[in-house]
Amino acid sequence: MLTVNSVSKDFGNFPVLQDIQLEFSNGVYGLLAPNGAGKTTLIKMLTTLLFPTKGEILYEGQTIFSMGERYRDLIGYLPQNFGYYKNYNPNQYLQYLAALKGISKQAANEKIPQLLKLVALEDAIKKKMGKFSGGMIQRVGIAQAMLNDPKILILDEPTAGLDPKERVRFRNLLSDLARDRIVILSTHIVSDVESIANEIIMIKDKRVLYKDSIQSICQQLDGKVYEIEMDFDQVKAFRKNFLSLSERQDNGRMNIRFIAEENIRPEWKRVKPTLEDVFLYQYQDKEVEQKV
Amino acid sequence: MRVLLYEIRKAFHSPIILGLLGVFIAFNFFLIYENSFIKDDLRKVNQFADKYGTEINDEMLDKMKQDYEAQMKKVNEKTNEVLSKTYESMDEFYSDQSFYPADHFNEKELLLFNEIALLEYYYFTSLHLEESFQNIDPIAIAELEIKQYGISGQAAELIRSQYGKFTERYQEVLENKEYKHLFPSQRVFETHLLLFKKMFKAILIESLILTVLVTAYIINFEFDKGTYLIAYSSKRGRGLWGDKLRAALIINVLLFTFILVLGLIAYFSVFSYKEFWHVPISSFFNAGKEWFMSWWNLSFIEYLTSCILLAYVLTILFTMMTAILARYVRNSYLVFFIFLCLFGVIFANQGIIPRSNIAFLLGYFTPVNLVLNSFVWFMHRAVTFTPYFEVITVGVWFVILLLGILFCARSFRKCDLK
Repeated sequence: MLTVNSVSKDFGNFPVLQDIQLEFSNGVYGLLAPNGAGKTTLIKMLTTLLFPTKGEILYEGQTIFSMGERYRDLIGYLPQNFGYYKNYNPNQYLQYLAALKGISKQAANEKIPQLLKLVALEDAIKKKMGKFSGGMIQRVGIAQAMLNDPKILILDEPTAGLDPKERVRFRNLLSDLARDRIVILSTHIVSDVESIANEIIMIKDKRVLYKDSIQSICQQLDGKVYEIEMDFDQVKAFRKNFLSLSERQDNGRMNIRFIAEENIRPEWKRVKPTLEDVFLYQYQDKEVEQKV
Repeated sequence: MRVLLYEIRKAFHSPIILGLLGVFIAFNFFLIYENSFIKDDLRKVNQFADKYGTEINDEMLDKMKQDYEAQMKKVNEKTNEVLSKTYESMDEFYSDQSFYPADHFNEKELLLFNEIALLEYYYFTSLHLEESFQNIDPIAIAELEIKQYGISGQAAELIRSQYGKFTERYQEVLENKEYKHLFPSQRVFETHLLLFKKMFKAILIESLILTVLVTAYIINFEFDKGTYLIAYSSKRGRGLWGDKLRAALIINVLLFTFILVLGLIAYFSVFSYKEFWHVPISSFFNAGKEWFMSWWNLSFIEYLTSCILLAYVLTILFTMMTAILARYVRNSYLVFFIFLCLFGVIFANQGIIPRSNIAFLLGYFTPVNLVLNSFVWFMHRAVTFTPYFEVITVGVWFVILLLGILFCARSFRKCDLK
C-alpha cells in the first residue's frame, strides 16, 4: 500500500499542492488534471525526485525517503519528457539503466529482449535511438520502466507523441502490465484512462478533488448533460448561456452536448455523462463556470 | 562497478574530449620538435658524463683537462694549417671576427670545434664551480626578490623570518656537494625550462582543460541529455552523483597519464638524460634565473617523480573544484566558462592585495599559482618562503575541497530535482 499522507509542496512561496491525501493499492489509477495542475509534481514526489514541503509518503508504513534504494527498487517510472542518448541503441540504453537499477548483467541480457519484444521494438534493437520516432522512443521508455519488474509503475503523460494506433496499443499493453501492481497513470487526455483505470484521481486548486471510480465520478453529472440540435446561427447565442462540452455538424445542423443545471426544456435530450464531461465541467474557465 | 564503467564510457564517446586530446598530444610533440636543435649537443654532454662521471672532483677535472688540451692542440693544428693562427681557447677562436668558420672548415671539422667548445665550457665552469657557488648569497637573492616583487611590511618580515632555513639549506648543498655535478647546462640548453616550464605547464593546462570538460560533462550528462529523472529515480538514485565524481576522477587521471606519458616518452627519446637520472637537481649547472637549488636533496628522477605526483594531486583538486561547480550549474559548457573565470579571479585576486600584507604571500598558495609556475616547484624561492609550500598548498586546498565535495554530495541527496 502506497500512502500519500497530508502532503503539500511549495516551490519557494508558491504552493503547488496542498494537503494531498491518497492511498494506492494494486490497480490502475488515472491521475487526471489539466497541464499545470500539479500532476507531475505529485509524481516526482512519488519517485523521490522532489521532497514534500509538508506531510509524508509511506510505502507499507515506512516513509519512502527513509527506505531509499529499497523503495526506488520497487518503482518503474516513465517521465513526461524522458531524455535518452541519441547515440545509443535501445539495448545499450536499457543495459545502462539496468545497471542503475541494480539488475545483474545476466538478468538484463534475458530481460531486455523480452521487453523490447513486448513493446514491438525487437527489430530495432541495434538501431540508434536518435533515428527513432516519438512513438518508438515512448515504447523504449515503457520498456525501461518495466526493466525491474516494478511493484509501482508510474507513467507521466505516457501517450504524449503517440499516434492513435500507438495509443490503443499502449493501452492494451498497460492492461497487461497492470496485474499485481500499482499503476499510476498521469494524463490530461481523458480517453487514455477511461477504459483502463480502476480509479480516477482529479486534482483541482492544488487539492485532490476526486478519488473514485469512473462511474461514481460521472454520477455527479447525472441529469445535467444534454444534447440538442440547432441551426448554425443559433450556436453563438447558446454558448453564452450554457457550457458546451462538444459540438459536431450533422446534416447541416449543429449537434451540441452541454451541461444545464436548471430551466430544463423538454426538447433537450438527456444523455449519460462521461468522464470527459466531468473533466470539462470541473476544469472549465472561471468565466464559463459563471454561466453554468 | 558496472555503473562506473558506463559513466567512464560516456567521456570516451565525446568527440570534443577525444578531439582535444589529439590536439594536445600533437601540440606537445610540436613543442619537442621546435626545441630539438639542442638534442645533438645534449648527447655530447651525456658522452662527457659517461666518460668523466657526473661528480665533479679533482680526478674528473684532470681527465677533462687532458682531453681538452689534447683537443685544443688538434684545433690549433687545423687553424694553423688553414688560417696560420693558433688560439688559447675555443672562446677566442669563435670571438675572432676576421673570418667566418664555415668558409674555411668542413662540416666534420665544425662539429669537432663545437664539441671542443662544449667541453671547454664544461671544463672551465666545473673548474670554477666551487668559487661560483660560494659566491651565491641566498639572502641577497631573497632580498632582490623581495625588491622585485615590491614586497614590504609584514609580508617582507615573514620572508625574512625564514632566512635561517634559506642559509641552512644552502650550507647543506655546499657541504654535501649536491651542486658539484654535471648536468645539461641551464645557461646553454635551458632544459629545465623546456621540461618543467614549457612541457609541464602545457601538459598541466591541457590536463586542466580536459579535467574541467570531462568532470562537467560527466556530472551534468543526465541534465544535459534530460535523462536525470530516470537516472536519479532508479535504485542507484542520488548515489549516482558519487559514481559520476569517481568516474570523472578516473578519466581525468587516465587522460593526464596518457598525455604525460606520451609527452615524456617523446621528450626523453629526443633529449637524452641517460647519464643524469641520478644527478641532484640542485647541480650548479641546473641553476636558472629564478632558482638555484631545491629545498630537498633530490636527484633529477626524484624531482621529476615529485613533480609528476604533484601534477596528479592538482588534477584531483581541479576535478573536485569542477564537481562542486557542476553541482550547482547544470550545464557543462557554462561550468567550463565559470571555471575559467574562477581561475582568472584566483590569479588576479593577488594583484589587489597590498604587498605589505601577509595575505599577498598567502595568495601564492593556490593550485592556480602552482599550475603557472611548475618550473620552480620544490625550489628555493623567497615569495614561497617555506620548504613545504607545495605540500601546504595542495593539503589545505584538498581539505577545503573535500569538505565542499562532502557538502555537495549531501545537499544533492536532499535537493529537489525539478
